[in-house]
Amino acid sequence: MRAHSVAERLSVPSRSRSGSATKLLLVASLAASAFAATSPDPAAKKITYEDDVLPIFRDNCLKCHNPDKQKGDLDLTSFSAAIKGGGSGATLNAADPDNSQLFKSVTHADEPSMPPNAKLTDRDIATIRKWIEGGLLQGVNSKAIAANKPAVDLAIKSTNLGKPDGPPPMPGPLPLDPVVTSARGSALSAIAHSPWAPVVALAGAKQIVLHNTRDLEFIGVIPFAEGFPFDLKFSRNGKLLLASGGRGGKSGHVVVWDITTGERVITIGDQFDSVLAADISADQQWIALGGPDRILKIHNTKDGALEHRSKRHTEWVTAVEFSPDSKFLGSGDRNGGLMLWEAATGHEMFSLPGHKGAITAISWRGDSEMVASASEDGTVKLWKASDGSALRSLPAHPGGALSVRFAHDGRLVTSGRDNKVQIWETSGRNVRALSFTGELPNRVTFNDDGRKAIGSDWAGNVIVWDTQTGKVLGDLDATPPPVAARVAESTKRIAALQTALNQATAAHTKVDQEARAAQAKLDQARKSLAETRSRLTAQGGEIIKHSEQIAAEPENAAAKEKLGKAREQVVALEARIAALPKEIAEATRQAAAANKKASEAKVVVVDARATLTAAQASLARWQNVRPTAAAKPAAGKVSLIP
Amino acid sequence: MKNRTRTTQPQVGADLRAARVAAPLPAPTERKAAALRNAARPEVGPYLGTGVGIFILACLLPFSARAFAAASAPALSDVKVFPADINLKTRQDRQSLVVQAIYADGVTRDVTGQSTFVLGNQALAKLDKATLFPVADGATELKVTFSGRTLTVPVKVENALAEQPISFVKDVMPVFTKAGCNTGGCHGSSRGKDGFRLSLFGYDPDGDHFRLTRETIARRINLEVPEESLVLEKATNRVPHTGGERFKAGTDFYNVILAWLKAGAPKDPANVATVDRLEIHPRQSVLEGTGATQQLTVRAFYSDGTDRDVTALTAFMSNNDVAVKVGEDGKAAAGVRGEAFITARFEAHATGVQVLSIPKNLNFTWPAVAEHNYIDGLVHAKLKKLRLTPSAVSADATFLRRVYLDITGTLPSADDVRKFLTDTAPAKRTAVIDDLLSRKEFVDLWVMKWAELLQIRSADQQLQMSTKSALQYFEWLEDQIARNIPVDAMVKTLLTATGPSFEAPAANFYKVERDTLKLSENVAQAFMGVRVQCAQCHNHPFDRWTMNDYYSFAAFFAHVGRKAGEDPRETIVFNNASGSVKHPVGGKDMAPKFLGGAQPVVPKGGDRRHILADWLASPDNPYFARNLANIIWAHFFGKGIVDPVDDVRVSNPASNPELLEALAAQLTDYRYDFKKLVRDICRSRTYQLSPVANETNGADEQNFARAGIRRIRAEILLDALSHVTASSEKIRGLPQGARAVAIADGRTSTYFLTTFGRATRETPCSCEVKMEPNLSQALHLLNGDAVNAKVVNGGLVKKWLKTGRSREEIIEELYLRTLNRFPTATESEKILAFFTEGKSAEVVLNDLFWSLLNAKEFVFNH
Repeated sequence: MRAHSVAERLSVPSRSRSGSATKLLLVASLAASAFAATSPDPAAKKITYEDDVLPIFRDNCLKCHNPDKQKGDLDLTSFSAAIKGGGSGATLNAADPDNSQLFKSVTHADEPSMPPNAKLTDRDIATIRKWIEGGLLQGVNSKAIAANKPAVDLAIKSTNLGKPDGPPPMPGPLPLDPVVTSARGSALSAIAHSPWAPVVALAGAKQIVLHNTRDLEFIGVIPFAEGFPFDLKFSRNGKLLLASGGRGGKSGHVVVWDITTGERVITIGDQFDSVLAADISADQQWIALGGPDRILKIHNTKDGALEHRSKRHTEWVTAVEFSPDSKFLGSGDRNGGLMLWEAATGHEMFSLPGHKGAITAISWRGDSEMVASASEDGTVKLWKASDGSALRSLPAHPGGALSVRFAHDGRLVTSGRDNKVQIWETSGRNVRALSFTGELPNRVTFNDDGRKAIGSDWAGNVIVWDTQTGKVLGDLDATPPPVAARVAESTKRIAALQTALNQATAAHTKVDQEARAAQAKLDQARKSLAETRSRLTAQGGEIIKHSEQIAAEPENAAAKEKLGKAREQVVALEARIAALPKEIAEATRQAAAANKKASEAKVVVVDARATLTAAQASLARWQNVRPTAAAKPAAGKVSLIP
Repeated sequence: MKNRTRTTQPQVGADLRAARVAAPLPAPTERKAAALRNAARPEVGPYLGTGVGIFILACLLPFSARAFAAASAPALSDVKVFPADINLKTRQDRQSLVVQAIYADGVTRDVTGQSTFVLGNQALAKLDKATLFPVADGATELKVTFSGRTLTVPVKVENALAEQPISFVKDVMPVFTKAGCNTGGCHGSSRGKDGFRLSLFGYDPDGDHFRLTRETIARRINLEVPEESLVLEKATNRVPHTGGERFKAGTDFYNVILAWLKAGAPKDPANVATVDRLEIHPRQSVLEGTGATQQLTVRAFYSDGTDRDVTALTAFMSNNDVAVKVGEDGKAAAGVRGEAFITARFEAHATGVQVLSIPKNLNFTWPAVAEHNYIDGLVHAKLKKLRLTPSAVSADATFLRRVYLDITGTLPSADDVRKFLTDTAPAKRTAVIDDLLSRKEFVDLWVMKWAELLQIRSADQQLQMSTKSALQYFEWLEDQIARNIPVDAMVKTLLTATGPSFEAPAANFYKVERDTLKLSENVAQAFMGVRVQCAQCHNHPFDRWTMNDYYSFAAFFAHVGRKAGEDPRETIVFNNASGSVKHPVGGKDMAPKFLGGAQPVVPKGGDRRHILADWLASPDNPYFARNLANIIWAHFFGKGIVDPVDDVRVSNPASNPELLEALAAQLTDYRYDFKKLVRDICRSRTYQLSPVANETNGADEQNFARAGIRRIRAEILLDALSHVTASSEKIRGLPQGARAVAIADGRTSTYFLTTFGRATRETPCSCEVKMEPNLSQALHLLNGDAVNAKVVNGGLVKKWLKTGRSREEIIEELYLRTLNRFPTATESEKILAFFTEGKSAEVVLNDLFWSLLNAKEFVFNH
């Protein structure tokens, strides 16, 4: 890399050197430079203003941004002028293209779009990006300009803000009978997962349906008497569940329950349309809400009174979320307007410009440093909360990004109108797509440990994924059947299982008997062999005896006859002994097979029994539903502030 | 996206023309009354005496009429049942029936309620209040009986038990249109309402489906609890809805949308059947008496061969609510006497029927009136239908003034008047017509009218359209009309004009309007009388034109190339052989297609304009001749047969389609020599009618039963003022004394001309020429320079007094010059009374002159 300068140095021959030495050095340097020139590593090539960026400017920009014309007081004809900037200040921030106005203009991420009525090629934009990232080199010899603010540390510091001591709150006994039984599912407007416990809440028809995301089992239902819940949020400690909604066009409320008891703790608002977005602050002092009347409202939780309101939004308020440290409130509207507020005072802090379509979701990172916004313009943008600057813009879902959620570790899950569900790092790197084959995945979230994701689609299907592999783990029912139906179904199933068990037991008995028979046959064969052998031995003895007798009495015909018989016997027995092993082997095989069948049948019986037992337990659960506290507000004031 | 519109042209009058009025012989009192009614009356002067007489007779009439009516009610001449065949397919299908009785006097009655219906095979269908529902498959007949007559309607039932799956396009979309959801003032507006937009009158079903189900998720529809979907809650006003209650829960409209939601809000398959055409019946109704009703029935024919009774889903509109009102259910109800055209719209199709309303117990006798030519026959046919009689023929003086103004734009001289009034030749009116047609002033007048259509006007920016170009264009036009070039040839020359505009001034046609879309709109409006402007952004709401029609017509002009000549004021027009007109939805490159006609084959590299010109100015294009004939007619009557003349549309039909057709056919036969048509018109009795109403036609404004009274247009009025006062006007760009009619440039005007509504020629619209009288005009005539200065400067009275003419002579001369008639005895008497001692005769006579010029009788053509 330094070859040039070496050559430069050496190309001025010092008179004091001998000619040959110079030549040698020259050759060496040339070789070095030749080597450097041919060593291929174009990625390592420095992008500089003089070599790479000025030609782009010349072709597209200098007609207006030259010393004579200086549109917007910006002159790009020289490096120093480009760095100086224009009438609104510096347009280039070293190492930070996303915050460089020049880059934002050429990528059309911000007004004014440049060139007017045209766009640079992707290649040119990439070159400019690399130039900024590389520190705005003027020429190959230049030093990179240090970024004038420290690179944003996107690494998440703490991931447990708000975690309660002790076991994470799980729902207490909840009604199991749904408020509405429907033949068909409908798209869910909200899914919320407890930050610390394996509980997910689904916005259903006039009810919130809770499931356990460890075993994917149905937990229960919280009735929403005010109408249809539109937005759901868990409090930061996971103990409270907030639902906002109502009757479209007519009325809207925000309700908060303590999930451990299933009781309402507060009902807020009395809007004239459904409340489309709401949240409760982590310190539980404030509840923010917004909807079609375009007004952002902040109520206190002491007496539910309205504390602050803002008409800043020019369209329906579609998303609100407090930061985990309760300092900020983020809100978005249908025009793409995105605002950060000071939660306690309701003062406007920052307007976050850039989205060109309705805001569909807002999510705060657990450390309150960063907030993500998803929009119908197809992008998911990451913003720095402390100064409202734009950190990243991810072209996440062409056609419209419908959902975004942070995990505790800073990963993001998003979904959109391209029918995809994606996982991202905070840096913006796409990790993987989750397997989805339905239509319009409009809501997704992580579970408590971030290893699973739960999402819903247009048809009302709720899918659970493994985020490490992207594979579907199962699904959840957002339209649970009534308990009576479950009991009936369970009973029917138990009956079927019982039948199955009986069949299995009968089959097992049969096979078991066969195994025993085979075993007996085997034993018999073995016994027979042993017997034959002993008889053989006995006959052997007989032969000896008779042989001795004949030796003693050569004329003893009886003995000779006996000897002959004995010999015959021995032959027969030996033949038998030769044949038996084969029989034994065969019997062994049969016995083994029969035994195997028997033990398999046994396994089936055991399984069937276990399944039946589980079903009976489940039925018992449905049948022993204890009447739970009705969804009425708690008597007396319940302070939400812990 | 589908844009389809078809119009079923109403066949008007066919049925009734056959039924001639055959009134029984009236009683003696009747005949006398009839004779008195039809007597000619003096044009000027009070007719109060006769009025009283008429009044007395009118009071007597009802008594005799009623006695008479009881004895001779018109006989039933025909009974019709609509539709003529019934095809029921699937369980949801149904068909409503209408029975119409036609009587000998042409009156029709809706007799559905008085008819008996007997179904051949009762097991196949069920009849409920004149609607047939399917029960079982098979074929049978329905016998409809009224007043002894029986008609047979074949009935076919198929798939009676099959369920027709609910369709978004076929079932739900029509509800949005009929319930008024997608009108321009509501969700059909370009931004929708509160974020919810539907395509205007449903031109984009796919987009509407997306917007309703997926644009905002979980808000507008709810598939779990469909009854509580926001779309239904708002439409029934169960939750506050600015648009109010569009329909009630439990009604058919509600149930359709609910059924669709219950089915999961499905989208239609790609091959869903589309509407091919609409049929509306009865085609002609003549309702007698206020409150008489006629139920209309509308049937749609689909591309899959099925038909469907869509009466409940059709949007009905009457163009004359006072005469005939039409309800949402398609029931037309008669009001006062008059005629109305009921437009019916379903999906992108529009059609219509004519309904006449005549008073009850009208005893109508057609008087013996002459028919000079075919025009009179056709006008009278319409009047007979309406039970109107034409007024008397105008007096000679009235006729002379009118025909001079209409043909030449000048007033007859005093001698002309004297000669004509004393002429005894029976064909003197025809002779005058022929004479006037040969004059240069006739050419001048029509050059001016065409210059308005072609928008001959220089621009402030001289390079855009220089004065020189405008003048050359005008002179070219003058030459064409002076040489009596047939109009079709002239239009073809204009459309295909090529070359440098200084050498070929017709090329200025492409200089006047450079925007392709606007150019095609102007061509349609000026040469075909059709306003397609609305269809630029969406299907025309009241007419048959779709966006496809609009853009494929504009495509004819996509290849027009223009470049500057050496002189920057000159434009060279050429065939570019490249360029395209893109449909804004989808960006498709449109192939040229004749407006309302076929799609021609354009050879590669060929000039599209030639192909357009050959079609447009030819009998193949029915709009061309009709438009031209209508423009000519409107000039002579003050109102077109289609009015305004450049607003031909389904919902604005001709007041007398047969007349227009005949004029168009005649013009075509004359090979577009419009002078000949002018002759026909002027010779007709209808043109020569008096403006005084008789007791039948006082309210009629559009059937030419009497002459209209029209203000003289600006240029002619100015020229007349100059001429009768023998003064001259200096207009910019023209020599002293030149006529205002001859002004070439639309930009040139004077205060007088602008006040009196001279066309600026900024558009080819017929509304450019403003004929309405207003206060400014009256004040200007009274107080401005126009009259007073001219009278004084002309010095005619002075001259005459000097040459020794008597007061009486001058008075007569003034009357003959200005009002083109002799003063009446009363008038003379009153005027002479002004010559008191000490008053200068000149002053009095000048005052008289001034008064005459300010009289309505002067300013109006009557």
